[in-house]
Amino acid sequence: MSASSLLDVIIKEIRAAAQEEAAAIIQKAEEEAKRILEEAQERAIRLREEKRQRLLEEARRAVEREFAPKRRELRQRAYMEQYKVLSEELRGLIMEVLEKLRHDPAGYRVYLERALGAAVKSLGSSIVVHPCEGERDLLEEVVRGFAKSNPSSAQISIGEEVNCDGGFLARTPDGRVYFNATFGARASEVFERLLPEVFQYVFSTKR
Amino acid sequence: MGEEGGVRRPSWVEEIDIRVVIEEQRKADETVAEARKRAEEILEEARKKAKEILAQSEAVHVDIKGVIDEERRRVEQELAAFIKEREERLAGLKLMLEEIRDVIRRRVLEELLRWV
Repeated sequence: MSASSLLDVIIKEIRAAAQEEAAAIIQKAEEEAKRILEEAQERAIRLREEKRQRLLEEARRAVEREFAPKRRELRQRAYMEQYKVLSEELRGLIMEVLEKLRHDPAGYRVYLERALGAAVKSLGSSIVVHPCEGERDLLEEVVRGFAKSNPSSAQISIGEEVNCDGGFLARTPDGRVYFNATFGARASEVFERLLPEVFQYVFSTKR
Repeated sequence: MGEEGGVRRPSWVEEIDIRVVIEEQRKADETVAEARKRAEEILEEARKKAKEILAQSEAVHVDIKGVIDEERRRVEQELAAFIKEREERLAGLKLMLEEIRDVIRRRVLEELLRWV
């Protein structure tokens, strides 16, 4: 090989190597640029979506705040309506049962006897019972029957009649402790006791 | 005895003009340097565009009024449905109470005669 053709080869080699390196540098830069832009696009889409969602959420929350009192009021009203329906029904049925009991001599007597037993148990060995107006004779009869079947029981005396619609009022002789077995008091007690039960029954078996 | 002065160079080496090679190498280095400069420009341009793209993402247009109106309609419908359901539930409750009236009556009588 002559010196001049060898030089040509070397020059060509040097040029080719430089071109190749330059092309590689540009290609790498272009790929990196492409990646930067793609990442930016993706991030921009994500940011836009996040911001959009944030704005939508804020708008929804604003509307929720606006309607919150109304929503609360409706829920309360719904609860109150249910309570009203249930409590009125229960009160009505208690009154109905008491009325029936009052006009059932045997049943009413059972009521008075049991109430008397409970009064004695609650008030002690000596008590005064006050019948409702017009029921003195009946209560005396019940007291006699009670004393007969409970000979060692308390000493029971009959006090003056009081204004009530069934049952009686009992007290200790000194009047310090009372036992209210009138229908009015009993209706309230039974109402308080049964209302949660009725609620539970209705809402646990509701279709 | 052998020759003095070390290894003898081939004759063609003496004939290559080394200055031409050095000049060519200088041009090659320039080409590569230019490519690097261009690459940096390409990257710089890409970074600038990326910044613009991200800056544009801040400017999101959402029809807030439209969304609020739509939400209002949705909540109003929901409340109307709640009211309807409440009325139905109340009617169902009344019906059920009618059905269990005897059960309640029995329990009332039991409680009236039960002294605790």
